[in-house]
Amino acid sequence: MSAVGVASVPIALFIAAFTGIVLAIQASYTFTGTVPLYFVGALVGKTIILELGPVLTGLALSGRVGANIAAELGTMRVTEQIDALESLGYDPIAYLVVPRMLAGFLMFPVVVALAITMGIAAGWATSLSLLDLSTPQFVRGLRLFFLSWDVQFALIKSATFGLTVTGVGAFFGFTTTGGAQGVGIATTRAVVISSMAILALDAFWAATLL
Amino acid sequence: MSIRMEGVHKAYGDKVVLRGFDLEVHDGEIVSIIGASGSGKSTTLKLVIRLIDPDSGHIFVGGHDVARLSDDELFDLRRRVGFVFQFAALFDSMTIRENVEMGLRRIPGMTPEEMADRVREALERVDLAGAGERMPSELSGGMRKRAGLARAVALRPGYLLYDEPTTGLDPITVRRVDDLIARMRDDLGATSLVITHDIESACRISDRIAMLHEGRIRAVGTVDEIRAHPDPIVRGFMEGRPELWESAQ
Ligand SMILES: Nc1ncnc2c1ncn2[C@@H]1O[C@H](COP(=O)(O)OP(=O)(O)OP(=O)(O)O)[C@@H](O)[C@H]1O
Ligand SMILES: [Mg+2]
Repeated sequence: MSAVGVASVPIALFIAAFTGIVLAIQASYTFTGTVPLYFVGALVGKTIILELGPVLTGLALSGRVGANIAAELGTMRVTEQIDALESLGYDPIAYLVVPRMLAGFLMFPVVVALAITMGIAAGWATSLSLLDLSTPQFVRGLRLFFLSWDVQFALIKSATFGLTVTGVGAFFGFTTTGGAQGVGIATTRAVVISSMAILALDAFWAATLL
Repeated sequence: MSIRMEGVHKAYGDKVVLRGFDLEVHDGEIVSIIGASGSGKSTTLKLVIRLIDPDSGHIFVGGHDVARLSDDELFDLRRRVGFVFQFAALFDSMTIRENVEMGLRRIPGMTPEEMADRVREALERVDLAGAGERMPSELSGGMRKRAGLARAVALRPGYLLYDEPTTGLDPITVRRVDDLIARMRDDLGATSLVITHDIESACRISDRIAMLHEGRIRAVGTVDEIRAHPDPIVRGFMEGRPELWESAQ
């Protein structure tokens, strides 16, 4: 649980902070002279909640969590630790895979929620310090198009990303063959496939839930 | 309480490993399998508890066809079979004590005190009494091997499958492990299948020896029968004389 969740928080926050900063600056660059500047808050909030928070976090975690699971289970496979587990009467799926997927399902939304908070906070701080916006203006923009459904949507989406990243990592780890090279291949595949799956799933949710 | 393999075929992709393998280990018997490196000995052992599935043929453990067991029955069977892996296969994220406990946790009604006793006893049997809190990566190859042995015997199983339990151990430890294998049978009546490259120790502990060659059991018999076997393949292997093999090809 902590390996999947807590350890991923710094990288997720790091990405979110810079995303928030860039979004705020780009929004003001685009809007200046045409759209009221308080729309910066709207754009930052909407984009981070709906899209960039969940997807960028998901992609980062597929590199971190998915790769980690694939490498760990892959090593256990090639060193016969999974066989050993079975020989002792354990169901390796129940023992190794289910807890990891459950952790992904529960922890991804938490990490994404933190990332969204950080991203918006960074956008707000940028608006105050670099752009000519006040806090009330930023908040006004933020609330303009805000729907609580957006947040639910983001969290549901994140939970499915969590299942995908951990499930894909576990699958490639489990089916590893060969030695160290096999573990390397499994890890790379896990990251590539789960990143693609996240993007596809993202489009799927956008098409079905929005 | 017997192990019986009938007409087992197994290939990995194009590589045919077993082609009509037959062997029976009777209740409480110790049978050693000898055979060249890569001949399929480890494969045979894994088939017994269905870590891999045969392409055809039947495997019976205690009269049950392992291919027909439900998942629960299979897990239950595996709990009654101790498996010593060729390369120990210790869980590297756990201490030696935790490794030994892993199997014991699956036994219903085992109290923590009982578990601690069993772990201590198993580690003492393999001379690792002081190493319980160490990690597998901190042990030598021989120590890891013995830890794997402890993990299997701690279960006090009715069946024991040993994959090269003495390879890489010093001569004194080899004798201790041989004694342990014999003692597990004498104390628990364990039906044992031992894979070994150590002819001397095979002769010491086995009731019967079986030689695996080109996917089949080439010969099986008591120690004396195998020692005096007329087949040049068997004699060549027992006596370490490659010229006998070549003349038989
Ligand atoms: N998972 C696998 N995939 C493909 N080939 C395999 C696999 N496992 C074993 N083999 C091949 O099957 C053959 C038999 O392997 P096995 O491990 O059973 O031999 P062995 O008799 O135990 O050898 P050794 O005495 O060296 O341990 C070998 O040629 C090996 O290359
Ligand atoms: Mg082997």
